[in-house]
Parts: sequence; C-alpha cells; structure tokens
Amino acid sequence: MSAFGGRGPFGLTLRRCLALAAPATALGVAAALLLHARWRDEAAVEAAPGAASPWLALPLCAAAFAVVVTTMRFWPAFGRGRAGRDWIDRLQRGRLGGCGCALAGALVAYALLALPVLLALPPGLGAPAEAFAAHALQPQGGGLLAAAAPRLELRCPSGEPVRELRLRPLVGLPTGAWQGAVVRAYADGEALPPLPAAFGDNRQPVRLAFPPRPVRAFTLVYESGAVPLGFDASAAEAIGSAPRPRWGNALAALLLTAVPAFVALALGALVGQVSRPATALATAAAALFLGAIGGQGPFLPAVLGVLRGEWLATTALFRAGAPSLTLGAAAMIVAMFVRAKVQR
Amino acid sequence: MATAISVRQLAVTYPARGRQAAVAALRPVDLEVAPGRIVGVLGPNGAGKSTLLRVLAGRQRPTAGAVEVLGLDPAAPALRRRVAWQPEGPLPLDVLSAREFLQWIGAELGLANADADARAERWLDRLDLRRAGARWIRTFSTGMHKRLALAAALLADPDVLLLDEPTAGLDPFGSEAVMQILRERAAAGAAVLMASHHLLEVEEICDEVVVLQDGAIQARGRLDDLLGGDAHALVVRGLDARGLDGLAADARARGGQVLRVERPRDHLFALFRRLRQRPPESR
Repeated sequence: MSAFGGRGPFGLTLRRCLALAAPATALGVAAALLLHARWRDEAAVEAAPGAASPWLALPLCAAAFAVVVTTMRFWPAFGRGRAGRDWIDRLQRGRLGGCGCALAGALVAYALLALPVLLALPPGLGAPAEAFAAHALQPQGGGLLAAAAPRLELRCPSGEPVRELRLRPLVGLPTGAWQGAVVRAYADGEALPPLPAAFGDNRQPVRLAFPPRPVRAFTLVYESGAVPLGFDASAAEAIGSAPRPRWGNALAALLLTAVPAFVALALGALVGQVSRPATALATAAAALFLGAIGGQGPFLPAVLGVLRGEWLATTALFRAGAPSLTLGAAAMIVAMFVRAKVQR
Repeated sequence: MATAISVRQLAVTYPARGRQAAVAALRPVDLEVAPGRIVGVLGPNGAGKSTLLRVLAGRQRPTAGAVEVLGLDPAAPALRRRVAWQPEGPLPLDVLSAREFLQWIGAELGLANADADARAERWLDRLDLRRAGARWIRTFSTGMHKRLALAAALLADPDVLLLDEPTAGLDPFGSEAVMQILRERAAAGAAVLMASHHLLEVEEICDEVVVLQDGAIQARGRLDDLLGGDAHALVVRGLDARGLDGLAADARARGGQVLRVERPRDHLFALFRRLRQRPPESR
C-alpha cells in the first residue's frame, strides 16, 4: 500500500483520500440502501424504475466531498500560510506546487470509490438491469399539439432500432371544460398501440412499448381533449432496443459525476494561491455543493440516468458538462499564472 | 570553486501594505561562505536572519544586490538538490510517518526509491528516530520535528546547508548529534550557514559568525578574532587557599589585577556528554 500510486503528491493524496473517503462512501451506501427501503414509492417505480429512488447520489456525494476536503486539507499548496508550505514551494517542480498532481490523485481515488458503487448499487435501488440508449426526439414546427394543431412530427435522428416511446409534454391551460388529451402515436406512418393514459398533468410521464424497429419519425395525432400539449427538446424520447454494457454506463456516469470534484479542486487550487486555507476550502466546498447537490452540471442528471437505465454515452450529458470542465480547466491555468506571480 | 555562497550588497525590503509601512528586512549585506566552513548567523528576533536564508534558498527575491549559491541564481532548479534549506516552523504533511516523509523528500529530489530508502534509514538511525520512523509526524515532539527536518535537509548530501535554528528545541544529546553531523558535513566540503540563538553552540561549532541587527551586519569574522582580547589570563588548578593568596599577591605586585577566584567547574553540556558516555544502568 505504501508504494501504491508512487511517492509524490499524486500517490500521497491518492492513498490519503482512499483512507479517509472510503468509510464516508461506505456510510453513504448504507444510508442509500436504508433510505431506499424506507421510502420506496411503488407507484413511481412503476412509472420510471429507479428514478423514484435518487439515493444513489448519496454515496457519490459523500465520496466527492470526502475526497475534496481531504485533498484540500492534506496538500499544503491549497492555501497560503499553511504549515510547511515553504518546503512544498521549494521542492515542487510543477507550476501548481503539486496541486495538479494532488488533484489527479484525488480524482483517481474518487474513481476507485465511485466505480464499484455505480456498478453494484443501482440494481439494489431498483434501476433496470440493463441500460438502453435514450434518443431525444426533435419536435418539428412549434412543438404544439392541440385540437387546433392536431399533428406533430417528432424526428428520430438515430438509425438504431427503438422499442419504446417516452413522452413528458408540458400541459397548457384548458380551452374549454377540462378533459385530458388523448393522443395516438404513429411510427413512420404506421399506427402504434394506443397510449396507456391521457395527458392531464404537466410533465406526466407516459411510456409506450412496441416491437423493436428502426424509426425515422414519430407522428403524434391529437384525438380528443381540451388541453394543449407542448413538446420541447426534453419532452419526447425513443428508447433503443440494444442493451448496453452496464460497466460502460457506470464508467460514463463516473466521468460525469467526477466533474464537480474536479471543478471544486481546480477552484480551490486557484483561490489557495492567494488566500488562506479556510477561504480556499470554503470556495471548493461551495463549488462542489453547487455541482453535486445544486444541480449545476452533469452530476445529478447522470445519477438519474443510471437509475432510469439510460445509456449515458449517447445523451447530451457530456455536452452539458462542458461548461463545468471549461471552468475547471480555466481555473487551473489561471492558478499557474497567479502562482508564478506571487511565488517569490 | 572559491566560494559556495556569495552575497553582494543584498537588500530586501518588504513593501508597504495598507497602513503598514515598508520594512527593510536586510540593508545592503555582503557575505561569503567558503566550502567546508560553518558560519553562524546571530542576532535578535527580527534581525533578518531568516530572510537571509530565504533569499539564499531562492524563496525570497532580493530587492537589490547580487546573490549566488554554488555559482548559480539561488532559484535555479539545479540547486534544489545541491542546496538544502531547513526553514523554521513545522513540517508539511504531518499525517505521514517520518519514513514516508523522507521517502517523499527523496522522490521530490529525484533520488531512486532504493537509494532514498537507504538514505532515509541512515539518517533516521543517525538522528535517533529509527524507532519513531513509522509514527505520524504530528505525534512528534518539537525536538523530533527538528531532527526529522534536518534528516530531510541532509537526505541528498547537499553541498550547501541553510539551517534556521537547527538545534532549537533539541535536548543536549540531540544538539550534540546535530553539531557532530554538521562538523562532518563541513569536513566533507559542505558549506553550512546556520541561524541560531544558541550562542554556546555557535561558539562551539562555527568557524565564523555574522551578527545581524536591524537587517545590517554589526560584526563578522572568525570567533578567535571577535572574542579574543589583548590581555592574557592565567588559569591554575591544584593550589590550596594559601597558594592562591600567594599567587594573587604576586600578580598584584607585578601590576596585574585579580578579578575573581572561583572553583573550576564544567558547563552543563560537558556533564550531559559525560553522562551519555556511561553505561545506561549507571546513569
């Protein structure tokens, strides 16, 4: 163990993070299972397996917080005036005083802790056993489906055979006496089985399964009702029929859920060049809170995707993580310049 | 190489900040340290001793003047291994064991793992830390911290040692071990510059001293030159009171002064040294 990861800041931080974050992660797993068992909503599980139990976020958040706090407290270059900072500044060759290597060690530690969780825990929380690609359908025209505009085409850009249509439209104010919207779906002009429910609530999820087939476009026809439906970019999805490897999905989720920890440590490295350790730690913790629990970035969507059995590698989640990654990378680059300026 | 450390007209001024006026930490200072010499830097708190060492370690940019260590700019990467700096204050990474800490230092200095391990064991042994090698640094006493810091500074057998209070907080045995090591390093050709408040130790080990006051050099030179006077003293042993009286009268008759008559005694350091040489059961 003593040589695991090497003797530099990477290995030292990696081992320290594993030692301190592993118990926190284990506690998170136990809490997630407990909470799932205590507040399991059977009706919601029926509508969207796994999604009703968001507790997978708990151990991942615990791991991310533990890794970030451990790293910031462990490596002296994350803050001015730290004990022994003189040693670090003189010995470290890197432009970030070892913060970059420490950050890498922390992320590897997070990966080693989070990957088993992402592989083993979702089935225990009711997630589907296999992951399938979820293709966002592109509504044509204004995306309105109502008695006055009774046909709406949803383009399916992927050529992959699909087996399920998932709709979550916005519901407008009724035009007369309230009556739910009854909609019929067609795949490339061919009628699909009737939808199992009429749309009455905003973002009400409705799923329609059918034999797998390649589809270029779905057409929705408004048959009856008094409420208009709005379809934005996230209101309709077609689910692919080919199951994807669970480890691949776990790996994608790992990358996406590691983004807040990366951003937090990068900001901590930047702030730590000019501020006291407490300020740097508070900055990193705030960034992590926003990224993980606050829903800014790909963390929560990735967790929900895993629980819904969505294949994350084909979703737009990676694009959604780009601003966070850019922010983190920019923080590290600026930190190098700031350090060079304040060094001597 | 004639000099290991060369300082010409070095000045360091910390700029004004807010209401705080600028502070001249070092006024123009000249200094040379040859290889194999041990030079003590003395002075009251705030005299500029640590600032001088920081400049020589490449951690403080001079406001004016020229500084060379082993013929290079003190901040040159090539000096990281050849110049060891033991700053005052706590060690970093105090959740590591002493052994891990030295291994980390070795890795940062580019030593091969096996080589670093061997050196770490040697210095842990030499500085009486072997039994504490697996303990967290944060559990160490002040003296153990100091000894570990010195072990870290010595790990790569540097050509120049910059030591800030190397014996502060050490017990007499630790101090003596450190002084012996410094003598050996100097004998092997290393230049040693040590800031200290321990005048007796400086007197015992240093070839030269520099006395700083308010950032300026007040005195410097070889100890014999600085401490010696024109008058001579006679030290006798083995006379009884009558004999001493006669000697004193003779001295007065010859125009001398009898300042005091005292029983000869050793200093505490020698006592500790004697005690240490005895077998443990008889201590």
